[in-house]
Amino acid sequence: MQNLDTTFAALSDGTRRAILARLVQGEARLSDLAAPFDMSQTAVSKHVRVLRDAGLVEVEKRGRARHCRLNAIVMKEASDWLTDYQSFWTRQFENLAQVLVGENE
Amino acid sequence: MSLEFVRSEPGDDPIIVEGYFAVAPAQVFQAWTDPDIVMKWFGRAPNSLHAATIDLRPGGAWQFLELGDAEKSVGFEGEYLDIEPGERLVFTWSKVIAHASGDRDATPTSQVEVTFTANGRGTDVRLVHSAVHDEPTRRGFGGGWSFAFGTMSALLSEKTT
Repeated sequence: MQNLDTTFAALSDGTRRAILARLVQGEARLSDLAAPFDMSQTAVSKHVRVLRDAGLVEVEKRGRARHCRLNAIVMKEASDWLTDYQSFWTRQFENLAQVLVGENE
Repeated sequence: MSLEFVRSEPGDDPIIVEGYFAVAPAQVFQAWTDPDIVMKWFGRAPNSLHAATIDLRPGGAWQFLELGDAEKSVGFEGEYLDIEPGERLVFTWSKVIAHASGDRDATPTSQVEVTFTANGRGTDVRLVHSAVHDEPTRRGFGGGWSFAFGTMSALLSEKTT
């Protein structure tokens, strides 16, 4: 079980979020992941390691290349944790109105 | 999702939500403080709540669970700070995941004030949710770390449809 603190700590960095955004599109080789960033592959590897330790990314070695992919379940848990309170309260008000009207009918 | 009830700007603290309900203040107040009625409306959809407990007195605890199984419970909880029947309700607020292992993930405590004002035969309800700990949460999927989440949500919904 991943602790949310670890997950959010891993997500607190812009480069790591950009890596995740890339992986949302599909699996990528570590070497390809590094390409859009103005940093060495070693530096990108460190970020990937943090994401892997947090359970957000899985790394698999195939031949000479390391392939990275998103772990959707951990990402979903973190995503579920964030509540959009504007739409949240709007929904509550809609539900409440529905129930109160129903009771008076 | 319509945001017609929201009065505050996205990301602002506090979040202000207002709505008119076509029943008397006492009845709306009861809908907020009677767990059986809360079960009917609170949550992702009507009748979706797993459990609701309310100890309606100053310092009393409340807990609305969206999910509760052998692994974990997920929901909201807090304590009542001020109770004026039919007029006003103030309580603390935290989102909590309690794991079966005993671990708890809880957001920092924020505060919710709900006021009920008679308007003709109905009631104006004003909700002020203040001190929600971070801007992305107040705003929802709008900025900061939420970019990846937004893309992710879209992907997940594609997969499930």
